[in-house]
Amino acid sequence: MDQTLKILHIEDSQADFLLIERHLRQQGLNARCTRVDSMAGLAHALADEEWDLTLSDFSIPALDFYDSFSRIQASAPDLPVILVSGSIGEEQAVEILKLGVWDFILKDNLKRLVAAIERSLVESQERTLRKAAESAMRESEYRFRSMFDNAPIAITIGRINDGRLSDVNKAWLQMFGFERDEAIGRTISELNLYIRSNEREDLIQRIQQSGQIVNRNVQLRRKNSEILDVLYSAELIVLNGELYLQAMMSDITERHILEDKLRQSQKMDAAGQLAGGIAHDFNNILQVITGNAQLQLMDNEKHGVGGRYLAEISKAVDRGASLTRSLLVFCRQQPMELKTFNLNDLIKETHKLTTRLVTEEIFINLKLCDQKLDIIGDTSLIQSVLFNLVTNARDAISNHGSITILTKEELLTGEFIAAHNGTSPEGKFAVLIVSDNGCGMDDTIKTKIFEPFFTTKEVGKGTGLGLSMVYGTIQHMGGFINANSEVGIGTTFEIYLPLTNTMKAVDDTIEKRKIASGNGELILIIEDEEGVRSSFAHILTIYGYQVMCSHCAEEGIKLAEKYESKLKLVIMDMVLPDMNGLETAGELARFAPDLPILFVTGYADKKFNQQKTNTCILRKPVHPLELLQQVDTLLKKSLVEKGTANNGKNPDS
Amino acid sequence: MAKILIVDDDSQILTVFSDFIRKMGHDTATAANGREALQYLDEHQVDLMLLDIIMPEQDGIGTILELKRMAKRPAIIAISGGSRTLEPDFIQSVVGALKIDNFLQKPVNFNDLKTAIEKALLSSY
Repeated sequence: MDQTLKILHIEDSQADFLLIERHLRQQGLNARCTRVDSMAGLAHALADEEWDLTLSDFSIPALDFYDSFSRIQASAPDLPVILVSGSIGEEQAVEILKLGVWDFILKDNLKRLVAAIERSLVESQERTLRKAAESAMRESEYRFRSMFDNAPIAITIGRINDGRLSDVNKAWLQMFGFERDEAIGRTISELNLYIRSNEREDLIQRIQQSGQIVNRNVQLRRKNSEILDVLYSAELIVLNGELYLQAMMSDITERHILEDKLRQSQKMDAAGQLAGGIAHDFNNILQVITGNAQLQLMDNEKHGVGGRYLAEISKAVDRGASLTRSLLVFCRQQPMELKTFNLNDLIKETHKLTTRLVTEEIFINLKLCDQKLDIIGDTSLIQSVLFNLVTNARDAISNHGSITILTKEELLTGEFIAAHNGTSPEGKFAVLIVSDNGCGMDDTIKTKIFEPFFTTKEVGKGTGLGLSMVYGTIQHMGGFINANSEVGIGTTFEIYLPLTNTMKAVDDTIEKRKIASGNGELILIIEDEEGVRSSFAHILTIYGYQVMCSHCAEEGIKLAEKYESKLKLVIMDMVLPDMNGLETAGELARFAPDLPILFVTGYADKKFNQQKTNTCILRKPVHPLELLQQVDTLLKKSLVEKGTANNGKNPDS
Repeated sequence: MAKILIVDDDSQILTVFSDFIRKMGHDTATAANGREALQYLDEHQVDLMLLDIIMPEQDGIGTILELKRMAKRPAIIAISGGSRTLEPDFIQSVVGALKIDNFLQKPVNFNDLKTAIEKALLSSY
């Protein structure tokens, strides 16, 4: 050995120590020996240095061998210990070797010592290497186990020959809803996971052909029977000489749902863009048609010729115009024009038009209830809904048949509304039922009828937008629709729309009010939302006011102070980034106590008390007309008050 | 008899509107866009304009803004069929801001058009 060995020698006799040291040197062993003869010395030596080997006498007065050996084992378990003793019985020697002492040499026969030392060193080195390898293995095993257990992807390991699961990870248990002991040792078929009966055979066959399966779409069942869309990958592995299938699954059910939704909304966007794009040109075309029809009608009248067909053309144009409008509303390119109307009256008015949609062989049966059915909605859109349903009913009837349009009033419970995906509060609803005795629909078709672009009609005969437009329109009006159908018997559509006393009536009086214009009055707008700020400023400027804007309270107050003499009104958001509206109002009142303030808020804030007469609150979204109206009211009030105040001060003037 | 200028980029619309308005007993002229309309107004006396809002070259809104600078401008009935222009808010703000006399949506029924023209002419005299 080319390196100096560091040997720790537990020995009470200095003479013996020197003797053994000399023996080692004589034998050509390059070693540095250190002697200890007490527990304290041993402890120090073990703590201070790293040793290659320990030689130990057995009987030392101050140190029991067993004590010193266990001490060595505790601090350096892999350090070879060779017993070098004067006298020891054979039985004791065996006992000591059993303890783990590496070798045992008699002091009077040191011939074997060097060989014993060299062998111990080799063994020790091997032992260290083996231990390192074992520990690395353990670590790696732990790492992989932890990876397996904590992977977000569900993993199973199952024997190929009988399909029994030998291991599954947490993600798998979670995904399929099993406990560990329910799954281990069972097969996927026993657990009833497969939906297709020959799924396993297919998977195995595929893996035998190509060695692996990568990202295959498979449907599997959870323990609670829910169906999961799973992305399935698998490969063969060999464990203990046996073939196993290691499968990895990720749940993509949610992704599929989202993808479907995205596809739907892309379709809607496309329809919206299309509708928006063609609306202008389409309306121009309708204009040309109706205009010429009306002109021809006039000519005919002058010459005493009838104009029945021309009147029909005009009516068709009306339907076309209402179609573009409902398409625009449906695709959210245009808001609805809501007003209160009696559904029965509207159906009566529309009845003539609807009869034009069907052939003489189809009878339209009108059964309207006696009560008034006041609802809030867009009349032309409701007409469009009727046209759509009647057209569909007509197409479902091959020769003779009848279509019934029925209305009634019904009290609906919250559960019923929620079960039909309605959003209105419970209460009285107007029910409009359109039923036919046509061919009906099977369940597969029924689930798809409200999807945009779904149609069972021949190419060119239907856009696939009709019923989804009906669905959207009804939903926009706070109602919902229900379809019942049986093949060979007919189809019934039930439309539920909340009656006005159920929905809060919209204030349509605003539309009738006269718009007041300003006369250069200076108005300060304090609002942090840029869009709101600029739209208010825009409308006020158009209507003849002068406007200053500020995005925060601090700047607003400064502006107000600067222009105090000219400033007539402040419009202010209740919630500002640096100060709330009431605090800001307090600050303004310090130098302009009579300045009228119009608060706007996005919240239904009940805390706000209208204590002062020169303040007012508007809830967002604020209709431009409402804004103008309130501004006008506050300005007029403030003028009157100033007048009274001045009168009070100067009774003589 | 009034002089009515019809401005629209669709030639069929120009024809059908002209025919109707002439039947009403008025004199008509036509322009295919805002620029042509303004040129016409430079040289002729016009009582009322029927103005399409969405047009190439110069649209209706731009034309109205230019018209507002003129000392004596004709009465204006704006007409449109585009999607944005169908929004009630937009219509209100246009009618209010530009002080135009009426706003009609295509397709316009001629009875409505007749009423609107009569009203606009009445208020402009």
